[in-house]
Amino acid sequence: MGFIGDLNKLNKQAKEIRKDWDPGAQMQDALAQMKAVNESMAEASKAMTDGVPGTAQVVAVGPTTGMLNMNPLMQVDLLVSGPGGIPRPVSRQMAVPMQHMARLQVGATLPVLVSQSDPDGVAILWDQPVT
Amino acid sequence: MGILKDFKDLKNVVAAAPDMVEEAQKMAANAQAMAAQQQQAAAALMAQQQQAAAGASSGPDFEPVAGVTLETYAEVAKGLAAYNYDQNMAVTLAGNRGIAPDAWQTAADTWNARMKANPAVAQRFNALYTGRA
Repeated sequence: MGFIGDLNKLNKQAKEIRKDWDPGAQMQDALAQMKAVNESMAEASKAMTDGVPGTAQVVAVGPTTGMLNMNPLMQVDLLVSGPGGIPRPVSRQMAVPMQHMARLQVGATLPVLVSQSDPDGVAILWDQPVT
Repeated sequence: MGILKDFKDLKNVVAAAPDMVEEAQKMAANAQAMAAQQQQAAAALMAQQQQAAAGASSGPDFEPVAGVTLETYAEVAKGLAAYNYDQNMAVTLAGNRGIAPDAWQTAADTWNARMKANPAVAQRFNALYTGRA
């Protein structure tokens, strides 16, 4: 095929690709996911600032479609226990460091910081063992 | 490098591009199909975990402790939300249900230990607390 023919074919392919492209819907999906992750990170930041040590038991784990800093975003249900020990369910969409994925098993206990100012503020201390 | 060589390279690139776009389209379609299958399987697994938690409530680890059932423990724990999760209020909330402080402490310690040792108990507590039971 000649040069002009190839250009025409490329043009047709571009039109075909654009036909089912819905940037609005994709933006909305991405926005919802960004909000969930931002909320999770803001709460984790609070816990890093004024948190006290606690533990979190993994109750359920499921993947999402996103990545953050090359780490997979996961939907995680936790039972968080701070001082006093009575656990509380927390459900989060969070970026899990790739090297710590193996720790994210149902039944596993993870070290966390629980914010004193915001009961929903929980940060998982991935680099620390459970003490 | 000569301009004729550049034109020749450009022509070759344009000639190869449609096939590359076609392969990329196929790859995207395959990746989307795989992602959809994985998402479906993961959602089913998560639902299964939650359903199992909602249903599984038998065995010695689910027996009441000092007269406090797991359901009652979850209700008292949930009641703490009204007091900004002040754990000291748990004794009062338990007392409102006729549970003595000593019995409550024993129950709380034992249920916490059971949840750590047996994920099914933790999942059941989570389901009761979140209303998915």
